[in-house]
Amino acid sequence: MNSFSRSNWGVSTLAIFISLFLLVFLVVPVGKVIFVAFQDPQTGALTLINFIDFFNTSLFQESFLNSIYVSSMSVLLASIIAIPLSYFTTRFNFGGAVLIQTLGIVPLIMPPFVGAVAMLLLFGENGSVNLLLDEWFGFTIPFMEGLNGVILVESIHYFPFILINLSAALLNIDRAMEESAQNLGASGTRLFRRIVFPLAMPGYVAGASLVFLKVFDDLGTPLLLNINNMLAPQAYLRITSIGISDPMGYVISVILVTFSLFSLWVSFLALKGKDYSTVQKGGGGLMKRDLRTWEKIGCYAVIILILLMVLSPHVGLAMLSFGTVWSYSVLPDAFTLAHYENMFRMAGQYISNTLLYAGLAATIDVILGTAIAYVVWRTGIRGRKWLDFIAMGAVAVPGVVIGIGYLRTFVEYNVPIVDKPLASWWVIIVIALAIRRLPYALRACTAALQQVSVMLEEAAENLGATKSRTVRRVVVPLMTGGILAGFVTSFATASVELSATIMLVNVESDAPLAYGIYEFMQSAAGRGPGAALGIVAVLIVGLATYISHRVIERTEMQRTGTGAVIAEQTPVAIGTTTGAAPL
Amino acid sequence: MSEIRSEAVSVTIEDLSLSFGPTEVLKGINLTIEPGEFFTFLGPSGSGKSTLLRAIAGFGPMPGGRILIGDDDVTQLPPWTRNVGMVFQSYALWPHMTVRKNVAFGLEERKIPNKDIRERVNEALKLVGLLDFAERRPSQLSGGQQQRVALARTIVIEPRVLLLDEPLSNLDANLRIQMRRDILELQQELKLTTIFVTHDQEEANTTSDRIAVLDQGIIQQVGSPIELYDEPANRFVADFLGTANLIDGPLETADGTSLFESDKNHTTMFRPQDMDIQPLPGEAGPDDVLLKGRVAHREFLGNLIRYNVTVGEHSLIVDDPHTTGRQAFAKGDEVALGLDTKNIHILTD
Repeated sequence: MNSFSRSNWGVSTLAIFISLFLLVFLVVPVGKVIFVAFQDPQTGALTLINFIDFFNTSLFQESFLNSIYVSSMSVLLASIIAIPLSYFTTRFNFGGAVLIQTLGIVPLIMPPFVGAVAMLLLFGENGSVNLLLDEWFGFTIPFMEGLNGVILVESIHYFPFILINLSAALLNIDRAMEESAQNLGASGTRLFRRIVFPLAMPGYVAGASLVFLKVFDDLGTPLLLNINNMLAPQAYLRITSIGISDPMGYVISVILVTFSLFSLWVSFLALKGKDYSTVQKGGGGLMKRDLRTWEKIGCYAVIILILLMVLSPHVGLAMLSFGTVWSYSVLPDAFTLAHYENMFRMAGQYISNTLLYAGLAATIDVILGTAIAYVVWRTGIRGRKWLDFIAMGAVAVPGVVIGIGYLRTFVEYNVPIVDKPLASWWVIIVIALAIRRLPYALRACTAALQQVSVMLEEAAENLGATKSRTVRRVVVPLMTGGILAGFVTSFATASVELSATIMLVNVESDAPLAYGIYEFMQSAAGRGPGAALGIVAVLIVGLATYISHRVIERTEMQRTGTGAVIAEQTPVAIGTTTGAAPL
Repeated sequence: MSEIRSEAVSVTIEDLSLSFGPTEVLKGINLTIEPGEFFTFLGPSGSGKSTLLRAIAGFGPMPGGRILIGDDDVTQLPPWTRNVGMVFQSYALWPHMTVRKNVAFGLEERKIPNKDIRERVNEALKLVGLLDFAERRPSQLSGGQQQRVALARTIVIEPRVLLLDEPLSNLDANLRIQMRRDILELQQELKLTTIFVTHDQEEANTTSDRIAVLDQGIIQQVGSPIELYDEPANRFVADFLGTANLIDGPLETADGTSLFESDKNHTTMFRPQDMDIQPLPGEAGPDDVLLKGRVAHREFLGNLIRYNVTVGEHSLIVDDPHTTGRQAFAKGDEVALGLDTKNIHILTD
């Protein structure tokens, strides 16, 4: 780390190149958006007039409150789902743990907007469940009415963030913590209130603030459910219908970014200085106890109920994709493969575009991720922490904001050979995806690099390998697992990204899969093929997630047993590599 | 028997200083290590011994002063051009390479033809007795075997100097003694200038031709193990190597005279085994002084009994050899202590 600063040329050039990339494609566009929000549209002078206009317009007031309401309620509902699940797994001995782990992954492999339409058909006013309820009991429940629909879809999709973080926090509590409290006289609720709860709290808050952020920024779900009076859809609609000179889109962007930063700050505060991984060698986790029969039945009932909820978008989507007509009925009238035929005939371009874009974006991400991790952790270049900070900052920038920023910034730059503005060239979609997914890849690469002990590099240098040879022969091979996991995560999440791409798609032939699903779902006739395309998306993401889990598992197996040569593993608090998490 | 041989060279360190940010870790080190010598840096943790070793290998912040290997000034050279072999405390074997690939690495970096690499790797593995393990991964080896691979990987490049950074600290006690002997044997066979870093005085004493004792970034004393033990230059060395009675101020003898009164700014040192514990009144030899005290504490250590005896305001450690059936003093007993004045050292600080 503290190596002599000789022959630093290569690394410096690399750092400058990365900085330029981040500057041009992240800092400048976002800065532009913020700047325009504070600019008088006529005179160009700095002003707060746009914000005053915003808060004086009743539609925007309503959208603002709706966004906060939906995000908060989603956090609440997601907590109601996640808390019992994490409690069951960490507290009791029973076989449902595998089911719960599955529950933690299944929702994440489908972007929320894909399942939204299917959820309408299952839970909507005339959906299967309400038809049955009405027939049997004579009443209906407005699951999907208005904002309820967004809340339901989002919380079913994002509760794993709470589940993963809270379970990790609970698992990290050493049994000795609990036993020593008991030894000193605490038990029952006092034990829970004074020991278990405070130790698990940071994990919960981190997960909950992440859910808030994701829901607040989500564009696809409200759009698909035709809910326009929320912030992200408003930003999108203003820009696409009125034009990129309308200041309201920028004002909304600033509000979105502010709330994102706020959520991240809360999560950071929760975890700061609270590395509660108190587990000693040998026994970890809280005391587990066996369940009595009736308790077991209760647990399984809760789990199965949640599992049904969580799987409903998948099941609904599958039925939609195979059904002929599905309207005012519990099940589709008949089943057919026609939608798949149609989809492959019409949407082949979407799929190949997606594979190309997500593949390129993920490649850019792991190259940048590896380079940034190396510069930050292995060189003494001045300001290196900023590189990490800015790259990670992309987490706080919602897709809509990136979209608006790119449109505004790059519309004037003509790409020479193709002779188009950069903002409407397909490559800009790839760059947007790369920037948005960079934090995931960077986290994976950083974790991988931190597991490579500096001594392994020094040993190579001692035996005659230069810095670059050492990187090639020791560092990168040892990081392979992490890099691969980062690639797959970036790829999977990029392939179903909607919010930035929807604004940057200029011609249909350049559009990726997520955009295709959105287009199909706009018409009743398109729902079948749209659902079929959705199934393709689920398969791509599911397969990628599976591969990434296998890769992580395998590298971890390789690592354990190598004993002394590997530095201890740092716990990753926010489950970045745990699965896909489309914004 | 071995073809791995190199011309032994000296290592010269001139006025070396080094800081981590504001913290000065080495403060003006001067040292010459003779060709073929087994030399040890001994000191407590934080003394700078590892930093000094790493500076010789080219790791860590750029130091002030000069480091010469043979006649070459290597101070400015990057690690990969120095050709000094270092064995790391944690061995630092690359987990993604087999034992053979690990050992071959340095030769590959030196663009040695493949055929020669194979031969030399086999040679080195044979030397450490691990030829049969060549195709294994480091994770499939025991700690001692990993240590041997690390050693083979280093000597195969025929380094001009061999650097060992606490290489034995991760091994269990029995293995440590075995490895210590093996390393020494190998070093003598290869006639390789070797620098060994340890905080364990026994390790240092049993292996080294000479030892440099470090504390707080300064060399306290350089000498052979016996010299350091018998003639410590200062309080730190006396205390760090073995057990010592360090007396500040006067000490009253049995006949009432006061010893060391004139040595106001000095510390008096003598070893626990240089005293002869006897029942009162006690007999003094021709050069002996006789002290009178009371047994405050007793530890039975097998081959000896260690007493804490209170003499005036001082508490002295006295080691009495134990032979089968020998009677021991009990706590509270009044005893006489004979001390040969030839064994008393006056330390200046």
